[in-house]
Amino acid sequence: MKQFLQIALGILSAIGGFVDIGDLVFNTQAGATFGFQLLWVVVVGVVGIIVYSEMCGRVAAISKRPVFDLVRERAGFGAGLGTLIASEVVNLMTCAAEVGGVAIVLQLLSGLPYRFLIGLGVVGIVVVSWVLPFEWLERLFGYVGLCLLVFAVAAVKVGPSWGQVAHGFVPGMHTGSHLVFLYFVVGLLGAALTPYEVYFYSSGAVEDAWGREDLRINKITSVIGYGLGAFLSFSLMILAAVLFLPRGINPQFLGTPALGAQDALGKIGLLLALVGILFAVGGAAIETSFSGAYNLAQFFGWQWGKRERPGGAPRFALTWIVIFALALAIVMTGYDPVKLTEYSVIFSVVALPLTFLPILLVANDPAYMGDSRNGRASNVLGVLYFVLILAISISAIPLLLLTNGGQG
Amino acid sequence: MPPLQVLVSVTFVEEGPRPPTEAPTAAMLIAGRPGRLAAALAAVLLLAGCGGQGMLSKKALSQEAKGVQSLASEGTLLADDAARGRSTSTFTRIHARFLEQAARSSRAKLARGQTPKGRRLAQLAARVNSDLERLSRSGSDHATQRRLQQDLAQAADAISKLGKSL
Repeated sequence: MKQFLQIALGILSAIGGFVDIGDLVFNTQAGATFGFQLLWVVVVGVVGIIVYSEMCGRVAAISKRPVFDLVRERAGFGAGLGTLIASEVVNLMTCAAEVGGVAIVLQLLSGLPYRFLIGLGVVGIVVVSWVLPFEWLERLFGYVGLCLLVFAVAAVKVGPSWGQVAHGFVPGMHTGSHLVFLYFVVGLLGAALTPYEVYFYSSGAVEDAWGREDLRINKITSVIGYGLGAFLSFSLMILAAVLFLPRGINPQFLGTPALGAQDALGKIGLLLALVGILFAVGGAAIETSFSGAYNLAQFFGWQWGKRERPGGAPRFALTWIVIFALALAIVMTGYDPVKLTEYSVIFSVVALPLTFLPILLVANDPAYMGDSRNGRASNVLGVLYFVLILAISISAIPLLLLTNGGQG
Repeated sequence: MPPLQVLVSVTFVEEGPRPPTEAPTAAMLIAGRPGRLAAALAAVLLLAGCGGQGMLSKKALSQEAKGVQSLASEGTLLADDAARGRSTSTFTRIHARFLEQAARSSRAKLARGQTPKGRRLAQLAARVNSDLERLSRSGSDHATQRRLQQDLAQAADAISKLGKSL
């Protein structure tokens, strides 16, 4: 039971990374556009994030230092500041999108006016974040977010051809536009390897006071947490491939995945999907706002942490509240939250390499890690995935433009 | 998103976020507000130079057809679930309204169509728009929802055929 509760950090990090507002729609679009053909990409992405999360959890457990601390030290002040700015913009835009997502789901559940629900959603999340200790935030949003498993049940219920599903795990492309396919490949990999996931995960490991004795739980947490995130991605894609692809539906709305669960399982499916989305998106809002506060505090050497009372880390507490306030202002303009996440891709391009390289370097440094430094397998995988991250960074924006955002 | 829409997009929608439109252009993504204004002005000049003929290119028309067909099909699925009592009236009302707003946006774009096929597509978009609007107001009237499901399915089929002939 204790171990079950301990893996909440991984589950919340993964839900924020794999099934936040943008990913819910993007995974559904991937299935509705290419059927099962992109399932293998999720496998590639999840192995990458497991490798790097395990590394940064290990670094946090052994050296007690979270990722952004290392970014500044290893990248230097100038490059570190560039990474900080880019990652703060990504965090803010993503947080705004998640806040908008919370309001949309509340509207789909209650029918109340959107703008009222934006305010209500933000106040609710801020109060919960203020009142609950870190481990209960992880548990509440991580475990209730698991209502999203309804998509797995729905995916089975709609009766896909399992042979074709299995074929989707073999890399290759069989139909459709090559450029659009590549756009989805890069998008799915980018979604799996978002910078704020590792900021949150490593800071969370410090918050949870991990030490050398927690290295095993770190491995379990990263594998199970991100594995669950990937499983949810598969489910969304399979459901969309069966329900939406044959009908020519191009999902653009947060309610569309929930419509899939409803069509397969009726009202109970709809309600579980909406509750799951609400907590997943709400959890992602907390994850991004906290990541923003962690980064700033760690970069400038402030006191930080949810474990500290707000009076003990006032600048940290003020930062995450300001991020929520700015997110509220952005989403109040009425801009489509799903589209907001697309813009954050541009800033992720800067933040991605400078986030992952310091993790790889420090995890391999005996001065920090002693006998817990990377083994050969971790290094090989780490280097391979770093090359992949560079490729994503270089190709993301050109593909976004060339394919008209995946529209062809 | 075409540059002109960047200017239009500062309007607010009371009942929800604005419906999704096409992806952002390079100008919109990379430039700030001055860049957007310049891009918008360039687009206005370009459109003026076209003399109003073929305001929507064949590719744009084809994409709009796909978009409206998608909305009609999604509306069909929603109406079918609602008619079978497998949805909540709130979800049907709000999600149908999101679809309806997107259909309205497509309808406005298609109104610029000059060719017979473009005009036919605009008529179908108007029909989808109207059906979705009625679906959002259908409450728990399963008979109406069943009729709308059939009508939306027919419209989706007609748009699909028309889209292939473009």
